[in-house]
Amino acid sequence: MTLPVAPDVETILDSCIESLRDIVAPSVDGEWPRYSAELVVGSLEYVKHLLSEDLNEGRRVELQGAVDEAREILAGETAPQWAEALAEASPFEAASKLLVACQDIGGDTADKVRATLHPILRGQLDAEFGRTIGLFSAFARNMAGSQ
Amino acid sequence: MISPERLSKLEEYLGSELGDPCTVTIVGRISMGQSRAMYIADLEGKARGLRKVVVRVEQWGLLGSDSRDEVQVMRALHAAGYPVAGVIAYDPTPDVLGQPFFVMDFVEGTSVFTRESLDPYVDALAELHRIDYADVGVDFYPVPDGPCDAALLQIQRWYDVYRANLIGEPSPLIEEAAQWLRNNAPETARSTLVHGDPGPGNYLHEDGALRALVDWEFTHIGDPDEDWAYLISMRGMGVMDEDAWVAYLADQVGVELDRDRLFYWIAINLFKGACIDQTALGIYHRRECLAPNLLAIGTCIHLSALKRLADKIL
Repeated sequence: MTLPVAPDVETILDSCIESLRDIVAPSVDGEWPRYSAELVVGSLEYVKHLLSEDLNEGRRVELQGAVDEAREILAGETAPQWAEALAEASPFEAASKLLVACQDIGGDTADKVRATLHPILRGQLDAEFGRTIGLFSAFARNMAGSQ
Repeated sequence: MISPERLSKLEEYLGSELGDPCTVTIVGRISMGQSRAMYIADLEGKARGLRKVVVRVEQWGLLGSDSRDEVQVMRALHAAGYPVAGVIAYDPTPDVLGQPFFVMDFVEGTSVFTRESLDPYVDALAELHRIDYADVGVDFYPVPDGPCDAALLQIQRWYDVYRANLIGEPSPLIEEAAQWLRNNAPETARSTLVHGDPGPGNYLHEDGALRALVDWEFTHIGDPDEDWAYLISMRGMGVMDEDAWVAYLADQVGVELDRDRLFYWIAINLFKGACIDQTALGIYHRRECLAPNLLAIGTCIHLSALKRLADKIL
């Protein structure tokens, strides 16, 4: 007997999530095991997002685009911090040093660089937080205190 | 949970430390508190009989603190009559439980917040800030020297923790926030003991009476406004809004908070949260511990603190 078409990963994950969330977690007596079960539900929901696309590469490419925009804004600027930042190969290293330089140097140019990088970084932050909301909910419920 | 082999080692260790052969029965794990695994246990000594204790075990450096200073400050404050659980034994090695740990008295009470428990709690927190730390033997923390060092020491401490636990790439928003905090560090008029993680969930009370403050791993010498900011913006956030907290603290303990300083110390607490949460992802990534709470702390809790921090100062 063969299995020509295997069940898809997302369906299996949903099955695990539903079973843990609706059947296992509510019936667990111990505080720590129940908390762990709820966190596993959140972990599986997060995994679904991670499986659906290469988030790391997407973030890197998106940020590199913003760093390249900042490079154009900084053409002609002489402060060595800018050049040092733009020499970084990693867009995360470059963006980090650019934003630190923005804090130290200030002024209109720094504002423009920030305005280029922030929307990308804040967008990535918000999107990632959204993917982990199941974990957050489980954690927050546990923070209410214990008897 | 603690394996039978380690439980035997724990019994042997405590029997030797206490000079009284004993058995230890783990009753359950407390889910509150993330930086340490905490187990309620029955400790039955041949001579001393049955007592309930809490075994508090480090978790691979989770949240960037260790038990050494925590135990020292708890012992000093307990001896001074401050409401802290007594520490029975401390093992700084991984020999017994795989991680450093200490055993403390179980304190009856609940950590679930009630409004009636708040007044005695903030009274006790204000009292902590008035204690002459040298007088009670707390001489092991770095003492801020320069006028802005209370802030700068904290920034550097938590920045180092974050950098030590980076996975691959830095976080540009954390790097920027650290620089903003350095550039805007306020002066501190008087350095005091700072609890470091105060508020609902981190004290035990019973019938309206305060029984003990818990979780002393972030305690240090610093600016007392750091504690008030943490109470207002983190653990006490759901209790009342910032304006109400400021009015309440002025009325209850006579603390007049400067709003600019409060803004700064809220920011530094959010920075600290974002940095220490990074440790969880490091431990999880290195597969030192695969508990799902580490994934939560290293992702959504870290991101939540960073989001609030960025909203506030960037």
